[in-house]
Amino acid sequence: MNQTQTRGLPRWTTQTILYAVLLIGGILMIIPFVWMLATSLKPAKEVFLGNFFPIAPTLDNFQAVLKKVPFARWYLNSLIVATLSTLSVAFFDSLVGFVLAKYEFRGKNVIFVFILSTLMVPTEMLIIPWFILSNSLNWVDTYWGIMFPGIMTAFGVFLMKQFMEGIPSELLDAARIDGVSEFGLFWRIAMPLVKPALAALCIFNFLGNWNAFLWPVIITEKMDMRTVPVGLAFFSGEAGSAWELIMAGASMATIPFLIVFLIFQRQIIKGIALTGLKG
Amino acid sequence: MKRLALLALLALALIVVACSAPAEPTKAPAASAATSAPAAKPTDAPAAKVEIEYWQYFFESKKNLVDELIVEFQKQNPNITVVHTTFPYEQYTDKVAASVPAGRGPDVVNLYYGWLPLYINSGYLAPLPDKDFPIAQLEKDFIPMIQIAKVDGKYYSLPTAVRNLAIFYNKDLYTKAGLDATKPPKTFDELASAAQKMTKVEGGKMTVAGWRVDLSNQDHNLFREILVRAYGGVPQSDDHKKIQWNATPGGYDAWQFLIDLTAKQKVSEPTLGQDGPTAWLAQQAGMMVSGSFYLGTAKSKATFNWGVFPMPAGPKASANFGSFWTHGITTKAAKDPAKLAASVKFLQFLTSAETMKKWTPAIGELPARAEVLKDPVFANDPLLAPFLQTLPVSYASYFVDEAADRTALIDAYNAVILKNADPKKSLDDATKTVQKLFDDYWASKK
Amino acid sequence: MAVRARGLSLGQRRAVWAYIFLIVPLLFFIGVRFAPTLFAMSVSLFKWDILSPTKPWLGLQNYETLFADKVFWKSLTNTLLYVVLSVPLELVFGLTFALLLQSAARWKGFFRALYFIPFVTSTVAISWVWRWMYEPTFGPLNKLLAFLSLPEQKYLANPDQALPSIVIAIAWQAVGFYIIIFLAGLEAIPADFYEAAKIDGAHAWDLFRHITLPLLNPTIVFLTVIGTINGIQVFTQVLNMSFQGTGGPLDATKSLVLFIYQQAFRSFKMGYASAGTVVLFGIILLITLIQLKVTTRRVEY
Repeated sequence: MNQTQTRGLPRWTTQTILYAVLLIGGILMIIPFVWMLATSLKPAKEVFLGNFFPIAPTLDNFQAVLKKVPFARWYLNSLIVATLSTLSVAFFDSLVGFVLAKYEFRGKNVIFVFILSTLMVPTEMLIIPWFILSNSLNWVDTYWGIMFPGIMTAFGVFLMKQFMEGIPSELLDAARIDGVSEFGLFWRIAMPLVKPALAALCIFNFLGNWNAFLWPVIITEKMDMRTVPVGLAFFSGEAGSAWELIMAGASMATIPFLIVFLIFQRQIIKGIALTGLKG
Repeated sequence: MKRLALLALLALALIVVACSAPAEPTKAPAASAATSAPAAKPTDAPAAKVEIEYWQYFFESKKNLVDELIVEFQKQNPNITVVHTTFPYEQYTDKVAASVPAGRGPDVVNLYYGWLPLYINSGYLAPLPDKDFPIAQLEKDFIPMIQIAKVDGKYYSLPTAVRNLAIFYNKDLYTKAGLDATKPPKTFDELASAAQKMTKVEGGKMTVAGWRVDLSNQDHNLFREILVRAYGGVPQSDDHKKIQWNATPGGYDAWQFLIDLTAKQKVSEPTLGQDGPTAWLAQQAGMMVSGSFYLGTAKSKATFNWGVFPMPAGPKASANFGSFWTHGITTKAAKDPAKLAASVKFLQFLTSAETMKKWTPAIGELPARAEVLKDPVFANDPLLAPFLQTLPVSYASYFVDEAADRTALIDAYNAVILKNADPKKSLDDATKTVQKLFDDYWASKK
Repeated sequence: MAVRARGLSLGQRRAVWAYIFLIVPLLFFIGVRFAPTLFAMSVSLFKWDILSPTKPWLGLQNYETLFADKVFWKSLTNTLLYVVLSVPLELVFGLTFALLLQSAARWKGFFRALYFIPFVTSTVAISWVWRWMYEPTFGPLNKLLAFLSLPEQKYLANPDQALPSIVIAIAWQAVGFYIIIFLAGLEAIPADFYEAAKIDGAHAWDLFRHITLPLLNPTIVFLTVIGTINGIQVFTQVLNMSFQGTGGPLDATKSLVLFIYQQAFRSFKMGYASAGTVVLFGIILLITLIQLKVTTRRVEY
């Protein structure tokens, strides 16, 4: 699929230009990230010196983060919350997206816009009602309390609806004739067809939860129930921020995902069964 | 079209529901909470086990010390358990405020004194019981600065320690500039000329600011309480109703002095090295104004010889800005006699002379009790002495909206420095903005 | 079960299933999103400082004050600027690099990961790095300009440059997201479409205009709408990057959500902040509806 290839130029020229552009873009993408890593390896006294790479690289910051605060526990909390809410989002958002894309019923558009409209109020304004609710139901300092606002997302519904619309209705009708139940249509026919979008949704949702900050700050009080981003905020204080520790923590929070992404990106993007999709 | 119509309907329904939402009080009215406090049981050791919760923002040395103190307190009071919870500094107000409507929160809470008017007005804090904290005794024992926390003749909180400002300076750069580190500047003019000597310009670019002026850090306080007084003004009327920054020629002089550091004498650049403390740590600033709470960071992060000298005097007066974080008992705790008694004990313990003696060396803030301050150990400490020296002339500003108050000054300063606005007019604007905040506050109190 | 009941047509029966599937999600959206939203919005008619147990009725006074507030208007125009500048930037770069990545014969995975890095990284940490990149005296951007003998800039400290500077950092971080969504969309376009068109002698540009672009329509709609909604709610980057951290200098970078947040949690004017939220909600709703209306045309191919 070389639809961008210009006619008239030999293939190797276009490929060279292409790689040059990709590489320049890639370098621009990675510089701030490398800076973050480099800072995490600097002794505290080097952070403000302005040198890009550490003069005397050290792993002390990582050790300090792991020893000073219950970082491993925070990591586990973030992992649990992000995983569970992503599973829930993957199921419910796909289901709603499927229904909104492939069923005809009264009130469909209203329901869609209603769901979408819930995206339009900033979290900052919802934390008070959420906290009143959570407090009265004893959800403070629980995993459920951290994740309940995000177990379904309008973002995911919208994404899945857009992709579900690409599934040919004839395919579903054929399956119906074969005796597939309505839920089976969703689970066994539609879901496999939208795997790339589903994978994208899972990544975004996981990352969104992994980096969520304001609500977890409010809903957690015990040090053991904090998530990684909340925990890292403890390194910023009245007398300045310990950037070397923040960077070390942020690096530890980021790198595992890069590795996972690097390994699975082919599957994530390509998906598997696109055979049923014929426009 | 049909969809749009439905949406309009939805929007309408939304507005209707919103309008009809009743203003339900989430808690008992403030009045009843206030009267319940004096009715509390005697503060003798409660027989049953009581658990109280204490909240403060996270400041590593404070958290560690309070953890230790609680162990000791619980030993003395085996029936009381104190749960100590901390929150990130930047999000502390968010958390405390968001907890209030839910009726959740601590029994003893640590608040910045500048937030008190709002918290007291809304009935969040209970007045300190008179028999445990007699007002006359408090005012005799504690330094006068704490009187800023008195609202309608009552105290609702007490601090363990207070802080004021001084000049942190890079001794290496100071000596290199040909200045004598044993003879720090005594007046603001001397300070400005020292700053001029320390400033370094390379290739038309300032690389070292002699004195990094940073209004978003401490220099808004520097203006309000220190410079205005030093040049002969009084920042607020005694009843805290009128902002008088521009009421005297001295106020304008003070403002002009602050502006000139960047505009005329060019000893500072608004962006140099991100912010004041960062630039100072990176040796991109020779001097900066900061509080004693910064001593710990300076000790652990500065890579150069540094020291602290006392806030200089102006042509008309010598003044400093004082402030404090203060512990209050919430009305929520005051409703339960056992919790109130335990909270009172804990508050007495936190503000005792013994606690203060441990507090100052660990945190750097100065003791709030006059008698503890007399301990020669503080006056002999070369890092604490400069703060101690100007403590008697340290004034705390009365705030009704600390964030907006600060923003008004920052904006006025930026308008002059970045947009060449007229300095006088910018100060007038800031005064007007802040006066409006005060007017609104006092109007709402009636 | 009612679904199996006789007398329902095929269409009706399916509609019943649709409602059954939607019950739980709708209850969630009503209970966790809609009701709290109503609460948050109803506060705009009252004077409430969060801490007070009472909320005196104000009627529309908060709105009157809001519409007379210069900072509100400034943050509103800023917010629209954030959207107008960042969304096209993200769309164009996202699609360009997605197409380039798709055409690359080798190291696709490596490059994908590279472009995805910013999106994975913590915004707070990365904002700090960007602040250093923009630092006028020692930052690398000005060093580069000096090296090229170009005039050095003030970036975040210059009221005219501060907002675009933040937009660049936002777009930089978001472009990975756009690339991934575009790639997923491109993968869904059957290869034989291109083959057929190529046999007809179509040029690359024709292929792009007549096959890629129309077939990417749902993806573009999605990204535009989501990009706009996110752009209008920009907050974290402004808080962490702006000069003095308050949306400065001189409110040049203050976004509407930052304005709302400062009113609610710094000045404790929840009623006032709520009025701002209602306006924000109205604007986003309006823009989204227009976008959906304009962009979801029937695609013909």
